[in-house]
Amino acid sequence: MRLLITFLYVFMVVKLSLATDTLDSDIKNVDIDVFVDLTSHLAQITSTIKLTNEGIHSPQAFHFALDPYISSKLSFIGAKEVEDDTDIAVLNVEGTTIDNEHKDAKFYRINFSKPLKPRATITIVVETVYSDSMSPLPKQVQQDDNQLVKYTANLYHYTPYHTTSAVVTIKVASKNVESYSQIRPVNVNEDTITYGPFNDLSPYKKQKFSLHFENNSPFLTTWRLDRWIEVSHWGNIAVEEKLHIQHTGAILKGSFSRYEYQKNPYGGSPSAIRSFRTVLPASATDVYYRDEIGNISTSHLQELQESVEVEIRPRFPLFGGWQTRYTIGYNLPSYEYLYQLGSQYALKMRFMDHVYDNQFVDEIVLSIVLPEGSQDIKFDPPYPVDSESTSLHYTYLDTIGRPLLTITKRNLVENHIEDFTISYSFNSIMLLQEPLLLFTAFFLVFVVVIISVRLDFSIVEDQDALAKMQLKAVREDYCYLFEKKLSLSKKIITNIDKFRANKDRQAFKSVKNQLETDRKHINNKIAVIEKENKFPPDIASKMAELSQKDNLLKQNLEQTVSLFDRPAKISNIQSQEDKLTREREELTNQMRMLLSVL
Amino acid sequence: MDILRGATDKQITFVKLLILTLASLLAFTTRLFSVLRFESVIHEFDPYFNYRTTQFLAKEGFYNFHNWFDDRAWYPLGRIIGGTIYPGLMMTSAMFYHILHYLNITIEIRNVCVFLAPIFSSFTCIVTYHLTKELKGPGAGLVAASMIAIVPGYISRSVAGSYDNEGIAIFCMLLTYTLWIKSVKTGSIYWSVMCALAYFYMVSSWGGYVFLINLIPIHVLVLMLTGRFSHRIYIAYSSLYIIGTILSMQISFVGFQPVQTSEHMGAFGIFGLCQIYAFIEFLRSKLNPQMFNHLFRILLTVVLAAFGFVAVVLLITGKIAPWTGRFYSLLDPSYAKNNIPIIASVSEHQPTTWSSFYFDLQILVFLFPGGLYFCFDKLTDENIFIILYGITSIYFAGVMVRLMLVLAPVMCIVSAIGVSSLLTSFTKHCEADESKSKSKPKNQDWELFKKQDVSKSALFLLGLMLLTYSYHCTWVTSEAYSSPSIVLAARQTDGSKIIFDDFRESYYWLRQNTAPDARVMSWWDYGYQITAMANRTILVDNNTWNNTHISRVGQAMSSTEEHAYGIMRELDVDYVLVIFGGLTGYASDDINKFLWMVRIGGSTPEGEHIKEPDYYTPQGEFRVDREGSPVLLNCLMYKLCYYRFGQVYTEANQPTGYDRVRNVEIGNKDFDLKVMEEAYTSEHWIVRIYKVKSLPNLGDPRFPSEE
Amino acid sequence: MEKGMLRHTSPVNPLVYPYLAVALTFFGVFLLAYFFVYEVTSNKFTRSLLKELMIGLVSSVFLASGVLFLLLWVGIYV
Repeated sequence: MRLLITFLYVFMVVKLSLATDTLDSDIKNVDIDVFVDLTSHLAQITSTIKLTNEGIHSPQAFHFALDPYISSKLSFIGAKEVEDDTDIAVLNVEGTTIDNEHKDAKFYRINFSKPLKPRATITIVVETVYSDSMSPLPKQVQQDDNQLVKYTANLYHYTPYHTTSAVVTIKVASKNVESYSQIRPVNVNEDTITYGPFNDLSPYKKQKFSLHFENNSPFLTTWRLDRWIEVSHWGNIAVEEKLHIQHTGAILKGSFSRYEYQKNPYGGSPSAIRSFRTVLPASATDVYYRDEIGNISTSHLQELQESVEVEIRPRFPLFGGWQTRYTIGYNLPSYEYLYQLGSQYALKMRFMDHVYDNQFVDEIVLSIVLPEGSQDIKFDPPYPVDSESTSLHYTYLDTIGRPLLTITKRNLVENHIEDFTISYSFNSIMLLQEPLLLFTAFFLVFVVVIISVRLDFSIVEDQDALAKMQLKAVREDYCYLFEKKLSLSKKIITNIDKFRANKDRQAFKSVKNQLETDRKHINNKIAVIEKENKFPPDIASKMAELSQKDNLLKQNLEQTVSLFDRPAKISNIQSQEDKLTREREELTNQMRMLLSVL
Repeated sequence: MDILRGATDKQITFVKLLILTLASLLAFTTRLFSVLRFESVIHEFDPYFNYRTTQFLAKEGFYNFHNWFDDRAWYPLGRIIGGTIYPGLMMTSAMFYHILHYLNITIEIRNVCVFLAPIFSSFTCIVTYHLTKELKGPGAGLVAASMIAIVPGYISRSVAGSYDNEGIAIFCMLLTYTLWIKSVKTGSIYWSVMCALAYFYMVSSWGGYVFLINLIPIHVLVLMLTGRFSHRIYIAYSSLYIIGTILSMQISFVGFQPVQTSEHMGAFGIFGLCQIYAFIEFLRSKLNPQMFNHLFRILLTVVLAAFGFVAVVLLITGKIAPWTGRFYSLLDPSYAKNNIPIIASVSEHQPTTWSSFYFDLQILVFLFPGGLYFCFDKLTDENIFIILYGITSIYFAGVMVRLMLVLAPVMCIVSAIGVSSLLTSFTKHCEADESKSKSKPKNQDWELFKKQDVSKSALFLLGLMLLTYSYHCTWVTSEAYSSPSIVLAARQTDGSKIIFDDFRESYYWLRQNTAPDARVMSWWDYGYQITAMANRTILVDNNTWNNTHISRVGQAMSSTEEHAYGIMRELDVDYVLVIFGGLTGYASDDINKFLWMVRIGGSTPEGEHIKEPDYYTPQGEFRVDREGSPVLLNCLMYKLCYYRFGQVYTEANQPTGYDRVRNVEIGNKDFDLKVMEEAYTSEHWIVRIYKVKSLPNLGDPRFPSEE
Repeated sequence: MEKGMLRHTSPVNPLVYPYLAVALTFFGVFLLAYFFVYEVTSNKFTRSLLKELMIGLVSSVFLASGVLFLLLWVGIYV
């Protein structure tokens, strides 16, 4: 019931079919305190209304009317109930019409948190933000002139109820007030103008008043904001925003003198926009700032505890009527914003993020790209949107395409920075689709190579080359077999050494027999090769030499075996052993050399 | 283990593969300095035009590209893009782009363009390997591949971001040469046809294909003269000439030039000579010597007479065009300076200095003669080709700096042949052969000792030279050839880097804050960049095909403000853009180029009132201070560059208006612009844009009725 | 958003991406080189289909996963 609010507003719910209500004439405004903040390019009007119920019924809601002179420029309306300066409840605001009453006025029905008892009073704070309510006058200024704007509105709070007393306090952007409507009682104190207190105002009381004052605050309008969110289940959310911004204050008349601009960096060219600060989410990394023709180097990044602040300086300063476009993008870790339960996922991110203080975005296009294979997509916006559509987006390693959700909305201000939720289901196995695709691609390349080397497009069979290839194959086999023989002889030696170590005659005999049979196999194979093939003379001679050496090696090995097989004859064992070893090594080396030549 | 089967040739193949892969990787990565230091952006001026056309091709498709009439350049004349460019580069990039996007690899077209040249330089390494392998052997091939990976002469035009025709033209050229040598060696039609296809690719990519179509016939001619003509060369050249010429005429820019201009007549003549020579050989084999000699003499006189008559007739009637300006200036370097100032003004067309040979090639300069010797040592058909290529490209590289690019590959190849031969001969003696030394007495040992030592020290020296080569190449690439020139960087006194992004700042201002059909007048250097980045119509650009139009712009810049206003109204100019480096010390600004504007402006009849000596002081100096010529101090270019500059303090201890490039205090400080208005000046005053005011009311005393 | 949903993290710790990418791609490229050398130095009598397919298979597996982690490391979160 009681919400801990620190200025959280509920957003207006504009129903397409406005309900028609009847006005409850028992409600009376006891005290209205209007605070008009004209320090930026947006008019932010906070009306603190103390209502009382003088009837016998308990109404559920009361009606709030917009200032008739600026009602078409409304961007945001929100209401809350306060008591003694503490917020109690955020109230629901709905657009509506009232039967037969002032059809040209705009009404909102603000529902109370509980019905208002008879003779009870309640204090409601209604905050409204109007864009484009201050028009530059003069329309064109020179480079070093101050920007003067004119604000025309209704002096009294336009209400369908009778008002007992009202005060209007206006804070303007600077001390220079050119002119203001002289409607008593009025008090001007530096940059604050107070009208009132007024007593006993009838309902729908109109009184036009205007202010003409100096407002050098940045009149920056974002005509279009394309916000692109790409979700990847490998742990990253990529955000990219494309903006088209323009200085919508007094148009620059005449030339832009860079000399004058640089001569006085702080005081000169007061209405120009040199830079602004964008606040990004706290875990933003890899921030880039560029436009269509390349990277823009005039920016400054500052990483703070709660956020990442980027001071963005456009390529050129923005004077009245000048516009520019830029792109800013960053990566966010998925664990901050993406939630998962089994195969259900939910993404909770801001619908619109901070661009600059007191921002006004005319149109936002939010595009959300979900991973391939996401189903059952449900989008839950924080406030009604203008349009919603789905399509497919193709990027790296995609086959069927990723679902792309496009949402548009117009006329947003800073108060519209709220979270949306999008939920979808995703089978985790689909994550393997990417490596599988790569695997298939690579394997396909291999298969193509394997097939293509087996293709033979020669018109005539080249017998020479064929014979050469066969010979090469046979030689490879031959050399391979001999290498195996050499490794066998090594094994025999190790066997002998092992026998010397542990004198296990049985093991020695068994291994020796095994090796003997292996050797016989190899000899058979070699004999087969030698029989089946005809070799040119030089190779044949080398082969003969090889088999000769091989026989010598065999004798050597048998001698070594017999040396250790006999019971101990100690005397010249060592020297004999050394001699045999040397002989063996020499033979092995020579055979190796012959094999390498072969 | 199976791995050991047939180990040695597997090892050799593996080592070759490893070296080639490393060389290609090196070729790619050494060109990435500017991307790593700045960003992935297109450099210079010409590449911006190529980039814009590639964007158009990728978006609109082939037929729209071929039929594209660009109305945003050369206002009010326009330019027929389809028929005046070599489309090979754009087609290659667009093909890569479409293939990648078909596979859903969504790389932007800008990145494809930026990285195309480094990728093709990797391919060039591999092609050079094959070329040198045909000439000498795989060892020389590997050395050539490694050398060409980093040679600065080639890197200068193929660094990442330098999206220009030469990036792929060198690859095509070497591919054509490799296939030509293959076809000469084997005499098979298959290789000749492949060579013709590669030649077609070369023609589509660069105007320098004229070099190829003259070098190959010269090769054939030399082979004929040295008595090496055989049926292989006959088959190779005939197939190549016919198929290659027909294919080359498919490019609209080339059109009918191969049969009409003098630059291609050499190839045609050699083709005819080939046929005649082969026919004579055929006859000689069929007839007996006496009859043959008789017949030969008659035929020779008849044919020569007919040929000469036809050639003279064609030349006189003008059907065969004489050598065009650009190529003629290669044969006569002073031609351009005297007759066509536009060609002379381009810095790339200046003759090469000695230092740039060393700068771009380093030890290759010394190894080249050695390699030439080894080529002569084993004279084969292929070696003759490479000798001819080397000598002709040395001549052309001496005439024009830009052609250093053509010299770099052949230098690498010939030097590699030299290095490889030296290495093989020295490594043979490096290891002492013990079996031979056993039986000989001591002085033989001394001989062997000397041999071993000498070879080891020679190898050491060679290794040292190659090491210094790689160090030099990398240093040159990093310092001299990796600047994007669209973004300037400088170091401040406290060591931090300061970036001058003025060009893009101003072009983007033009793009966002001027009417879409606004016309911008600037000197032709910046034309391509303005159309590509600012997307506005311009009067003259780097194509420089219309001298009169450029001369008109030059007249506007050199005349007084009032006179220039008339020219600007005539040309419908809305904005004027000038480049001014006086505040930052940027030396390639318009004041330094001003004399060329004067010369070109005064070279046509409308510019008769512009005489170059008027802009000098009586002593003949070009000065912008008080002593400067009053004509200079009051011309439009001066006023546009120095407007309000007279009040700026640029350097300590200097008066206001101190020009940091010319290092003087400017002469004319306090003036106002009557017909122009400063629209935008960039942050460091490098780019200054002025708006041309609309016509004044009648009777305005500031504007008398006519000049 | 229902209660009880956990925050989603990547199946592989992102800090490991560089090492995985380098190691897997290295093995993949090594096997690819072996395959290439084998193809070049063998003729139709010394080739063995089984060996080729095995090397190709293993190499593709390594290359595919290596390239995937390489893409993730570089910032292309596929």
